[in-house]
Amino acid sequence: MTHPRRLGVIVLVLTAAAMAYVATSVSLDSDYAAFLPAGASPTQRTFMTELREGAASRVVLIELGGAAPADLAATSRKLAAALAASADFRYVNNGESGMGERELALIAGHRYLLSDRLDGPAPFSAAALRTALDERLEALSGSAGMLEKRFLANDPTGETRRILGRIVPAKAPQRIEGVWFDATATHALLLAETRASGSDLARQDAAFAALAREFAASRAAPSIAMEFSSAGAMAVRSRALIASDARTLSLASMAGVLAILFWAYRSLRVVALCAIPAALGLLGGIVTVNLLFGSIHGITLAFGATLLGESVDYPSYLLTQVMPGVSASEAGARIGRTLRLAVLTTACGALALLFGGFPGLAQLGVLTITGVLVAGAATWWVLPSFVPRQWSPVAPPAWLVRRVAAPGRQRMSRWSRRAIAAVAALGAVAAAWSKPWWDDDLASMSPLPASMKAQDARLRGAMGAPDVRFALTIEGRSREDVLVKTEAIRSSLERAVAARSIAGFDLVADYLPSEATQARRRQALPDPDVLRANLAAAADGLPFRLQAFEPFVEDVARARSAPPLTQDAYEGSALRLKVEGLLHGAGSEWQVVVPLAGVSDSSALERVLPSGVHLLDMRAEATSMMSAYRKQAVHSSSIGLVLIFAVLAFGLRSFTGACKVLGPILLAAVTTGALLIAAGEPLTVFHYVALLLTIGIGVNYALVMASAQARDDRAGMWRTLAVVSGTALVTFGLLALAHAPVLHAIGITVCIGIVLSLALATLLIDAPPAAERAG
Amino acid sequence: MTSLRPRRAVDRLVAVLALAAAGIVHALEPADVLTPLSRVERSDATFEETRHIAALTAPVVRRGSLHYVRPAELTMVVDSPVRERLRIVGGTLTLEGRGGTREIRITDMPVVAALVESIRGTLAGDPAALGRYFTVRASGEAARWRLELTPLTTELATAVSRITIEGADTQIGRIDVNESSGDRSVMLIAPAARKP
Repeated sequence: MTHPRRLGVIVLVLTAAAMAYVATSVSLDSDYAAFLPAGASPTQRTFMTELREGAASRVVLIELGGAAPADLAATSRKLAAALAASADFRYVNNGESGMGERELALIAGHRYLLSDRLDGPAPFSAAALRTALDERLEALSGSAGMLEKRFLANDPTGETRRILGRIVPAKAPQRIEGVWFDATATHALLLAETRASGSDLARQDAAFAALAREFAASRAAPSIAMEFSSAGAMAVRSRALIASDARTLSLASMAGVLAILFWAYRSLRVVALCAIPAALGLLGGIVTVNLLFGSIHGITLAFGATLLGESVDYPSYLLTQVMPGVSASEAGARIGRTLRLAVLTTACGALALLFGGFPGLAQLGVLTITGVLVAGAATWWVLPSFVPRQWSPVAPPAWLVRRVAAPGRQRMSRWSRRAIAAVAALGAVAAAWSKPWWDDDLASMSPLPASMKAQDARLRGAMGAPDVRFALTIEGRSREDVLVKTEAIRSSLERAVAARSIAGFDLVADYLPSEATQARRRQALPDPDVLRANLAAAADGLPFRLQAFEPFVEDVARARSAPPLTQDAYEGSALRLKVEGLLHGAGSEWQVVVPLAGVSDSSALERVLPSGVHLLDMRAEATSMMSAYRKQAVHSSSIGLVLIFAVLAFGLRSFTGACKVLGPILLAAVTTGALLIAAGEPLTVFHYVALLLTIGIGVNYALVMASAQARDDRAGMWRTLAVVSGTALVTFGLLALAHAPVLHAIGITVCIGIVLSLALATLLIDAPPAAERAG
Repeated sequence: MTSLRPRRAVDRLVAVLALAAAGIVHALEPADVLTPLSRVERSDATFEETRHIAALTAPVVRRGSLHYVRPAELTMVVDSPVRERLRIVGGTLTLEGRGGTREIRITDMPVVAALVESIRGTLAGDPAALGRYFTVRASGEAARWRLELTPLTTELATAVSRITIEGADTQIGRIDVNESSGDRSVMLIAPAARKP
């Protein structure tokens, strides 16, 4: 064996290099698209990206309450002004300008490109103008005459009003003291948009800190309280929730684990050694993933760290076998095959993840494989050199040895043991049979407590921005292509509204017509002389002063040569948010989303849709993506199990030996899943990853048992199993107490899985040898 | 302002004494007009409104009736040239015309809210309702008063430059609305028998 000091230096240098690489070059990404199958439809892809990065993910709904309306309104105004000036926010609206002056000016300014009246025949003929002037005259005599006059000189044909009638949302919050309030008039409402995308949690967090700061500075009365909600806020809060759970629980579990290790090893140095292989494994895994993929996904890191949990046990396999007279190196040699197989089975199980077609799962596979290989190598080559000479773990208490290791406890026959195991497993499966097995609802993956989701729903309701469930998606090769296609479905949608299969729709082409349509509308504009002549003919016999319409003639003349309307024209207004929310894409992949309101008959709607337009049921879509991910994971891991079996059969040089090791553990995993389902907890991807970990750990236990049985060393076996299962139970048992559903799912699954693995392995592997039974 | 009050009281006393000596009563305050109005439970009147609009060669003349019921209900029935019924209850305005019925929240439209309050607030005798949008000045005497409303906000001032309301005791006789564009309207109001 290499000299310990030289080995220590090599390990230290490699570790330092890896850490330097992690600190400088590893980039963490959180693009959910990585967890979509490579064959996911473009719709699914954009849907997912939009969900994480799009305009909707940046919108923050803010609510101020706890004081009289006047104070709330004053606070709302100050806060809105402060946010508008803040670098963290791109847009803010508190209703002060409502469908405001800015938006109105933009629509009025582009009215001849936006109005669909110009698509009709001869929109500025004398006859058409006469109809318009008659209408204007009547309106001027009406009670709304004063408001009507505002558009008279520039827009006698009423284009602005026509456009507004089509696009102004039916529901907006009411205004009190000039700003938005909820229906009960107790809370002022604001809508803001962060500059950072919803998935950029660090910058979202900074924006929320700025929001809290500005609120504190704007507060008109100390009793005023602020609530806010957004996709980003929910993500930030869920991260904080997981972090706080993880902090408390990991402190507690670290204390528990250290207590067990210290009880077993009675040496600070040895306890510290236990942490080295797992830490090096994680480090190595991160470096490899980053080298291969260019970045590492947040989810890979989280799940990967979980899957590497079993490597924490590797040192204990070695250390618990050290005894007076058996040095660390000799113990290493004794457990060599068990350790090698433990590492290789996990690595082979993860190998299947590489070929599933999900980049996210492939990363997870690479991290796990590299991690266990490094941790195994560190345990095998590095650890023994650092274990102090003459050191050995404390002997387990006599009562424990008596209870678990006494030959008298093995009275039960092999077949009755098998029967008990089979009945237990079948019972659990039968109890689970009629219950739903899988939970693919994206919402139940959310780590947020129900109260936080309810608050978000309430704020959305108050703001008149309910969650859209149904939408149409239209794909195109370019922005122009997709806009032309969008314009083409208007008539179908209008028929659907008339047939009452939908209540309404929101077409991006109403805000941003295709260039072709804009060009056509521009062509419909007459030159000033023709327009003046038509106007004179139209006004004949009406009490209008013709000169009053000179601004109209000028506006039409200007519109004839105005540049096309582009998305950029809407910068700084609510309309930009609108357009960005409905139209996205780049290069040759563009997509328009058409939110639908009040869908009462989706199948009738689907029948009238032209080909290439898809009806998207957001909830169904998210669920189908989750189930695709889950199915792929199940598929990959089945292949993984075959590989694990092959490794075991090869390593143990025995087909039946492999069955003996893997059988009880598979049975334990199935029983664990069935118990969870039977208890009313359908399995999510998190449970599934946890079950994979359970199999990884369980196989190691079974290997320890099988190898101990071969050596007839039951005391040594229980010494090892007491330490490794004790630390695992403390860690995952505490995790089961977490508030975040992710952590809870992993904790509870692994806990049950470990207990069942131990129980079933004891029943099925640790059976009395045939000779003993005969005697 | 509190600190100025004693002095203002002294000023007023001096003025009253001086005017009393001259045989004239003291200058009219808005409250002197509004307080008696605040005791009227309901009122019904006919009106004739003449709108002078720059874009038109002839004024538009509208006729109809006005009905107020304390505290916040105002109905305007237009008989000609176009039949319409405008009803404001609290913050909701309902307009029934040839184009159907439209309902808007007046708080959403400050200019509309100000125009509504200039009439309703005066009929209600509610200085706070008027003071929300206008500075109010009174002149004349109780038997022939005049209120001048000037917009408080610049937003309102871009639409309306001044509203003048004239009346006698608890009866409004005339409302002049001067718009910032130069257009104006004159509404003449006469008491009418209560409509069933």
